[in-house]
Amino acid sequence: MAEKIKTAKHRRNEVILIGIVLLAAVGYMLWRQLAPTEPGGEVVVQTDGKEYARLPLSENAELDIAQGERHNHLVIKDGVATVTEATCPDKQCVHQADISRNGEMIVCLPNQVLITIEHGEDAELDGTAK
Amino acid sequence: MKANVARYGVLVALAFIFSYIETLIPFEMIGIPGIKLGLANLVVVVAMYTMRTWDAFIISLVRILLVGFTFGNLYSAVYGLCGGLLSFVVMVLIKKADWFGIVGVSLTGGIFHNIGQLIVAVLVVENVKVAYYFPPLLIAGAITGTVIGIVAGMIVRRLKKLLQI
Repeated sequence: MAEKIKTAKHRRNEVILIGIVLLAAVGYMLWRQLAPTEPGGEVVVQTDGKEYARLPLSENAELDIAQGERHNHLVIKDGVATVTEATCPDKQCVHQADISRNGEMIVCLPNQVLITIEHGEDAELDGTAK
Repeated sequence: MKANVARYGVLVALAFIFSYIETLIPFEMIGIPGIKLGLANLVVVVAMYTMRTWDAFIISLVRILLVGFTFGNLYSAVYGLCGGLLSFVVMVLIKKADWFGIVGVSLTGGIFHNIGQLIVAVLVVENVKVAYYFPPLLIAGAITGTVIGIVAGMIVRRLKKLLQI
């Protein structure tokens, strides 16, 4: 139990570690700001690892993602997709930010629902787990 | 042994209350799922530095199971378990390797807590795209882990004086 909670070596290593994390954070934010994100074309809904629906982002629509007793209510309005209601216990999907850009997503883990924005034209099965 | 049982009880209760307080903080407003302060981890880190590793492990495990079944549901219990176990193992290894002090150990623990939960998320939705959340979660875990580590350091210093260990 004689271990030190802080030594000079620890302090030096911690400074390096925090530096790396800060660098990663700044790099990530720069990348998010500067990387060209095209507006998405399609809303792809996946449940339980399988594609459930594919809707154009340009048209206003509402979709009830139903899996037995489990529901998530998806609303597409003015090129933005959001989940307004859900039967999941934590409601994380309802609180997540609205999505409209390519690659953005909303995830509901309890109901195993994943809503992503994709290009549209070249929307093959890229990245979808089989 | 008797003293240990009492300490187990106090620390589990404390971690339990911290977890409850955490459910009151509306972190989901940030829009990224899974970001938490990790207050309960404060207890685990303090236990790790004032008791045996095994004791800290038991406290962590009991805390996660109790909290999962009282404030959460089966899903949050599984996420908590995977995040908690991975972060615990990594913290023990880092501490053994003696690379970092308490702040660095807690920082790494915070990062790996989120990595563990993200791994479960990938398995649950069966889509690796969920890794989209990795960068913000990593940064959040590092920040909260550092804060927890600094506070844990203050507590451990005082506890060691008090308990003469």
